[in-house]
Amino acid sequence: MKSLFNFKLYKEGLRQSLLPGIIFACVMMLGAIFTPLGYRRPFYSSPFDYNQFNYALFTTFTVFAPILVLVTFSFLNKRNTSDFFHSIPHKRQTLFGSFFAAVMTWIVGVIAVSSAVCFALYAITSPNLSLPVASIIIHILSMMAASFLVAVITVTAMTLTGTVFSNVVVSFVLMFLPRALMTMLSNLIIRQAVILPADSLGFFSNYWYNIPVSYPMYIFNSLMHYEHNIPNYNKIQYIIYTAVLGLIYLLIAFILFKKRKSEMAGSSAVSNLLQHIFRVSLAFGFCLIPCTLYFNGTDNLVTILTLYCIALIIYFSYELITTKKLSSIKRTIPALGILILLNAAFIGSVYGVKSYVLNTETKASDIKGIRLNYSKRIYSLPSYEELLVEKILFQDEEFINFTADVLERTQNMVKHKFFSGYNPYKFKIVLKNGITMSRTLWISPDQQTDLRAILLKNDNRVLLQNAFDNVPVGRNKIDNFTISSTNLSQEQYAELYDIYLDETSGFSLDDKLHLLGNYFDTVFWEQRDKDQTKRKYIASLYATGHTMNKNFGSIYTIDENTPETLSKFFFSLNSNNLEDGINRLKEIKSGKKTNYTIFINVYGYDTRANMEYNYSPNYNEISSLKINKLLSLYDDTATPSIDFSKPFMQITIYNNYYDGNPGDRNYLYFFLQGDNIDSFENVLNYLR
Amino acid sequence: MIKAANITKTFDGFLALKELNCVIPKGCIYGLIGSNGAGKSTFLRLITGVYQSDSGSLTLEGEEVYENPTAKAKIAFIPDELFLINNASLKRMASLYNSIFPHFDNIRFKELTDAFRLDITKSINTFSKGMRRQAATILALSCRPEYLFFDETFDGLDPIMRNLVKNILVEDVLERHSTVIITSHSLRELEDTCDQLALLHQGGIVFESDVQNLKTSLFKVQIALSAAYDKSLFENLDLLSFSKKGSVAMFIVRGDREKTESQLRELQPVLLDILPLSLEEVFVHEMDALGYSFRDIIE
Repeated sequence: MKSLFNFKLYKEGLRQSLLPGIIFACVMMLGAIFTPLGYRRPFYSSPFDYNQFNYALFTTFTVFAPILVLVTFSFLNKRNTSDFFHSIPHKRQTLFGSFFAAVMTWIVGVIAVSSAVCFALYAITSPNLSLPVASIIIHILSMMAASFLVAVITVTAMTLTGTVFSNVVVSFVLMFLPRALMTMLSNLIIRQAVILPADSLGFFSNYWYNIPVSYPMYIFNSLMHYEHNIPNYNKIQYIIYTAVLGLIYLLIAFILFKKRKSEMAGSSAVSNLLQHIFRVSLAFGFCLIPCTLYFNGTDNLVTILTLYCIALIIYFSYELITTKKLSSIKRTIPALGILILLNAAFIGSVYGVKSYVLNTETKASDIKGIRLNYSKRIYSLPSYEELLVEKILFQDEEFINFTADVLERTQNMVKHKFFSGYNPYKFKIVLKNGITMSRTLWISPDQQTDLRAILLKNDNRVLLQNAFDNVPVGRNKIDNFTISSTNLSQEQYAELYDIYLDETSGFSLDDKLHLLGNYFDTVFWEQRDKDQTKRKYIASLYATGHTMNKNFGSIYTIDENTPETLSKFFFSLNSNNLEDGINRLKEIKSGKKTNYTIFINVYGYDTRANMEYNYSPNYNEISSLKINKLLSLYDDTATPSIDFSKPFMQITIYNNYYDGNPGDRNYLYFFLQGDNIDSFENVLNYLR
Repeated sequence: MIKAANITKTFDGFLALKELNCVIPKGCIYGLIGSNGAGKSTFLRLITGVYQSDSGSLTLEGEEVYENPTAKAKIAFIPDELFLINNASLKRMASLYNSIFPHFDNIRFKELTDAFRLDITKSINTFSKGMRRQAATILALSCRPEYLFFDETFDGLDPIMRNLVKNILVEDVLERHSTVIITSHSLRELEDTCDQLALLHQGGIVFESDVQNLKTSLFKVQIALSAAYDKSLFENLDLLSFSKKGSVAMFIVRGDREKTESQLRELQPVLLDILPLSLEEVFVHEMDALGYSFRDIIE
């Protein structure tokens, strides 16, 4: 350990990187100060996003980690400085360890101190704000891990090269090319094979594991219209992976640094072979774009050829820029063959896997069991129930036969590119040989009905019921609650949740399925759709948390099937908003408030269909008479409860031009019912 | 003592040193002369542990220098291309050296900066080329090294500073038994300072000798005899060159000066002058004897 670190050298490393370190600290502190100061809590209750904590955190791995390394290890790029540092009475490993420790001190120290300041300022400026501390700490650790990886890769690149230009280029290649290759390959395989779900290739296709690379890959995938994961790198496993990858690169950098010759300073690469490798890798990285376009079925051959020409320009330009000799172009020509081979191998791999997946037969006798797999939806999380159901291994013979049959049919459909009228559902097929295959199977509406029947009978039903009975009990399992467009406190939401759990604990499987607001893509979709018109859909309680190493977000419908919860909901909402809502109506009537939109939804009248009325100064200004009628329903001596066995109306008043003044809330949401049905109907007559 | 045995070093196909052998004793000032690209800087960097030889062994007091902090701590190296932190002052550089070199002596640093009259607070960027070399020399000497290597350092120094540095070096050698290696492509540079000289050519040492021995072992004779004579008259002498114009002959002799003079006087010459040779002339003739053209090598 002593030979890996020397305190005086470490101090010297800190001094050498003083300027970028101070700039880094200033930027982070500015972010730590102004982010909390500039935070304005929205009217409606929405969870604090850990990304909002300190916006400057993203500069740690994107800007300052590589700059700190480039400056601290810049001695490797010039002969005189390189010779000096190789002549000092310390082993190279000591020099490496001490200087790298200096870089990490800046990174970890600045992030830690600025984060502490940020926490303190949030506590001072927004004392009522409930910060998700655990998520934020994970976010901070993500940034540290990402910065560590970027720093290590940069120093690895510097051990292999000897100029700033080649340092930067090779850093990019080392950082992005492996994951870009994995991601593009898996994207294309999934797109070509079709029956492979987006997450079927696991780690290989999940670029979020590599935190610093994830966002550029996410953006690229979005541009190329590939199915992409929900933007969320805030997971422990991603931090661990990024950190472990960093440690591997650190070991590589350490070994290379010890072997590096001082005389390589100023050279674009430490050997001719590496020069070829870097050049080919850089060009190949760019070639992934035309390769992707080729599979995307673009008819524009000219675009693809143009991109390949650009790749060639990059190929030769790199050599020219790094060697500054026109004559060196000649020696790059043989390596072009390798570049072509790599392109061919890439394209061939996609076709090869596609062929394998579509032509491999899976018989029912090979299958041990099936697991349902929820479809990843963009910008939403799976429900807790979906996570529980995913754990079930259905071994029912009828289900296995059904799945084998549909799998074969889907493979044929894909080959003939015919999907009309069919819907995709994801399954994990567990084979008797221990292999688990993830497949997207295309199922017709009739098959869907059959499947639903299979899953809701016998042992399958028992398994599902058991799973639903294991819904998390207690608010401590939930990180955050919200109901759209409402402003209840977390405590109020939690109370609703407690009542809801208590109320539904004895419900049957079918009853619980009715109440779920998340989309179950296999069985429950149609069921839910059919039930939709029979329900008074008032609100859904959205509960997010973390379990089984995954984030979840469950949506629970609150309606007449959960009367206690519903009553509590009305009471809580009106307690918060009724008085303010009435005052707002009065302001609109007196002309004091002119920038408004009013939505009135009527429930439980006639055939229990909803009626909706909208008012706005621009197209349908509400008259004073109508407001008077609405106000007549208000009794300030009554409790804020609503009897939902009788008609009632939900009123939402929006400020059209909300200026962020906390005393003037963006919108108000409350209920009115009146003393009796007659008075209520009288009001409705005026509204119609 | 520094011992190099069959040292070979190649850079990208270019053979910089080829099976070089030499022994540099402790406590001497060793001069290494050679033309550009002869391998002087490479040799110094090998001894300093900056480079690693492709083959052979290079030891300092019996230890390999490469990746040996103990050995490196005894060495101070002033290269031809100096390393000075951009915009740093001499004080900052001293701080750097202090943190890196275990024997850095701040008192000595102060004494030397006073002697050289350099402002330690000013940015080195404002120094002239010569002043930067002085700064580098000060820093190296302040490390109290047992081995001090100068790679064409004296070229940038004015004569006064050169003398100052030489005096300091000699003082170090005498008091602390330090070993100094100085490389240059100018023989005149090294003549007054070095104890030993070696000539490096195309990666190998072609000639090596003690300076005093060089100066005294060779001398020029100018002689005129009344009778006719030719070169064979002097065949008992070790002649390096011989020329005759009329009755006056001029030749270079290697040997004992007094003995030679005594022998020549026996010939009852009309004219007899025994003149010392400059070091350059000694080298020219020594190299001629080896089959090299010294002037071609150095130029």
